Amino acid sequence: MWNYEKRLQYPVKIKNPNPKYAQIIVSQLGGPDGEIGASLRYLTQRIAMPYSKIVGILTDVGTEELAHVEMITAILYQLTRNLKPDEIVKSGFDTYFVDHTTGVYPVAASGFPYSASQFQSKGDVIADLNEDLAAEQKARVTYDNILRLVDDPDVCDAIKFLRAREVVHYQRFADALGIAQDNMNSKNFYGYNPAFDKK
Amino acid sequence: MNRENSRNRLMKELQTYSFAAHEALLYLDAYPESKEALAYYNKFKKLENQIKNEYEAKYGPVTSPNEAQSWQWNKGPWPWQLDGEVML
Repeated sequence: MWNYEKRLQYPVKIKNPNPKYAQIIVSQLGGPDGEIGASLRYLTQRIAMPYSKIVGILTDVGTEELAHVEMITAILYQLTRNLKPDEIVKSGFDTYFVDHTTGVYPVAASGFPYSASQFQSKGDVIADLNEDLAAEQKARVTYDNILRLVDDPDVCDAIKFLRAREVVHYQRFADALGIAQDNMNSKNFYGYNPAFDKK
Repeated sequence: MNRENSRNRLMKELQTYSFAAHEALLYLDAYPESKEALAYYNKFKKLENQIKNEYEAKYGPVTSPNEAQSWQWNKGPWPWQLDGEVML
């Protein structure tokens, strides 16, 4: 079960609409390293995870990712307010607009729709946690790239918050991998998969 | 606008305390034996609940209410809206 809180995790208040920025930032909604994929990755992986502490980490990080989905959608909403057709064409937002108007739809910046083929739930403790570590770093790089392209303090403030969370989640997943390895055979971590094999 | 400012201030406080508690929650997932993290969590969760009650009394529910005299949940603003924006 989940409860909804009618608030953002961190404030998003963007004074100046900018459809070009929206077209870039939408990748963190529906792109390969976006927040939807992050949330689904952790909330599905946790089911086969045999270590209770790690299930807790996957649950709480996966839940926080949903709050990040909401922050990204708020950024997209605020960046696409009061647009005129000529601005839409000039900014290059027209290719998104023609299909979705200013509705929020999960696509990558390239236009490729969100796909679960961009993450894995392997059912293997070591493989899944290594994917999670990599995922947090890839999302961090995407936020770094957004910060390279965006020049608006209102937008950058929220993006910097999200970027910092990727680093913290990476640290918690490093803890999780340590917890897993403490429970496994240090002579051969790959000898059996505690999510499936019986000892 | 004054009401918006004080609403924003209280919301920022709620976000701050809630964030501090959440950060401790993630840490406690990995280190449940940490007394320091537990005390930190308890401190900020308490502050979060106090501010949430204050916010809800003044500006309406953040979570669906336990008990309500009148139904305010469907009243704005929604989290993605900007100050002064009205929804139909």
